[in-house]
Amino acid sequence: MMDILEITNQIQWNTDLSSLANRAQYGLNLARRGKYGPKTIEHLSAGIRFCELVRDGAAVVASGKITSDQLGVARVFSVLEDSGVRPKEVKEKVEIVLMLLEAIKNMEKVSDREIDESKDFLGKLSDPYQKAAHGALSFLRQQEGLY
Amino acid sequence: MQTPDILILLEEIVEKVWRLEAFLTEIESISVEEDKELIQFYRSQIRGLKQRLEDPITEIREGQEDFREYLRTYFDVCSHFQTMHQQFWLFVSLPKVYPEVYTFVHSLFPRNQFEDVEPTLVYCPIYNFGEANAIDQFSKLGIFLDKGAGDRVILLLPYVDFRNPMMWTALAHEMGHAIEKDKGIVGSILPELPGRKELEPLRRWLKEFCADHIALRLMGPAYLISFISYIISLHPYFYVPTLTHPQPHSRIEYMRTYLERNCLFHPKAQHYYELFQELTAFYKVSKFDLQQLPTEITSPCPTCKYEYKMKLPESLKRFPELIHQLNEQVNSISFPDVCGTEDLRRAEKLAEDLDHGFFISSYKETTMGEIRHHLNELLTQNTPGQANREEIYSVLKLIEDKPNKVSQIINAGWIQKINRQIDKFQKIFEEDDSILEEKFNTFGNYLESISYNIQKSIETSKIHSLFAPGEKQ
Repeated sequence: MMDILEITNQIQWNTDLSSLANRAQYGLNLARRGKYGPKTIEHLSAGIRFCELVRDGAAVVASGKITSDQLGVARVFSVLEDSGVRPKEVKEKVEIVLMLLEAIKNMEKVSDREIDESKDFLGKLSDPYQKAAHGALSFLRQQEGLY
Repeated sequence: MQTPDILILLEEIVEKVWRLEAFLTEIESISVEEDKELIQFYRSQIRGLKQRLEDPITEIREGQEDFREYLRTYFDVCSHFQTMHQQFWLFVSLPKVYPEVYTFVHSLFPRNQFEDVEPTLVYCPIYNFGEANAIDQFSKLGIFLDKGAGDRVILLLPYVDFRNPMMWTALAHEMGHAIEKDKGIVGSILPELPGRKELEPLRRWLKEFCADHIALRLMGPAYLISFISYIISLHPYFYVPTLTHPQPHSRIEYMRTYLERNCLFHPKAQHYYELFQELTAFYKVSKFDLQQLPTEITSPCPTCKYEYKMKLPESLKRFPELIHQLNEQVNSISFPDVCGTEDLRRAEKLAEDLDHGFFISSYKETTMGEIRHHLNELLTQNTPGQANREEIYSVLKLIEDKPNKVSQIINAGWIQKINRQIDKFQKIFEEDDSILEEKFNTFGNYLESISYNIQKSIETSKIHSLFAPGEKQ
């Protein structure tokens, strides 16, 4: 049985990752509507952070050698791995989205189609994090109580 | 496929975040030095949650319809809210449980009738309601109390609902567990046999349905609505049967059937029922048929981050045949205040009063017009000083207020919430010119006044009933 604090940390960690991707979606929405305020930049930066974490995690896992200082990023990827995502494939796709987010942040012109595809990809990629967080919440609830 | 009503969901989570902040304010008012820094930390965390909620609210206001994205935000904030809730146990200072919670429980389960299940209330760090047994808890700590030490039911109340009477309905469910144990209901249907561990999930499911049935009898549709309000803070992906609990779908269907059969399925309950249906349909969550349960299901697990396959014991297939026996047993328990159709009719009227800012602790059976009519009759038929005592008292009796039942007050609260609160929420958050914090404050003040009225109405109605003739409890 895991410690309740450890489960809580895990929930928080996964929710934070899911939230970074979700914020990126709002940033993309705003950019699509031509709104480039500080909020848009903040949201896009959150998305960039998410992509970097996933990319680095995927790279570490794909290399097959994980050093102790890489445990954190490897852990980021492990949630995706559990849901069947392959490191090499995801790394390539994430790099494309990362470039797109950077471009939008620099106010470069990007097509609506590219924005929609990126939003969709970020949504799919963050899904396992949200589910992992809620899975642990559900587990805690079931120990005792209403549900 | 219909999109779930995102506004109800956002209103639900905005309310939860506000209530969590209200609890923090309560802590601050009694805090010791060691807690000050922690309070500031959680205040900033709550500000972060509010900012997250601003995104979908702004998009909806601007006519955008990216509901999948808004739902993602909703479930992220739900998750953040619950982890923050869990961490509040770190505070040295915690407010006492409000006395009105005890009044609520005692009104439904009077001491003279349920003296063996006298409860103590404590806060629960996990956003959950629960019921525990003092002797069991002590024995888990290695302290084995003598049987003569006496027992005590412990009810667990989440911090966030410390001043939210509408969610106290869940305590009726938890008291239902205590009563079930006390009366040995499930044990009489499914006796405990040594070495038959595979029967334990079945036993636990029966206990859940038994507690639901008791809460439904006492609270009517308010229990169904509050159950859904609680359940939807979890991602539908995890609305699965487990070894401890039946699938929420099964419980909700059971509740709906009970309410329909007793003409208590109020349109407002249907509103939340449909929200649950829409959510599960949106995420394509399978509903398991109790008659044909699978042998294996996917279940959440924190140790493997994602999920695992869990075997359901064959014995659960006996569930449908046992549920009828269970219902009969629960129906034979005598409660002083079972929720009926007349109570809902009253709740409808009380909801309007509540909306106008009135306390709803009592009501008059006669309208002011009728009272005036009877008074005029008395005055015209008699010259001054001629009317006899009975005639005067018959008019006075019409003026007398009668205390409302807890179920009437709580159902009125939910009806009022569904009638008005969501519109109010939309109106406040649609204002373009005010800042986010102000919007939260305005909505919070509104929630505060409604909750306060309900809380005080419960207390006053109880005091009132103690003085009302023939209402001694």
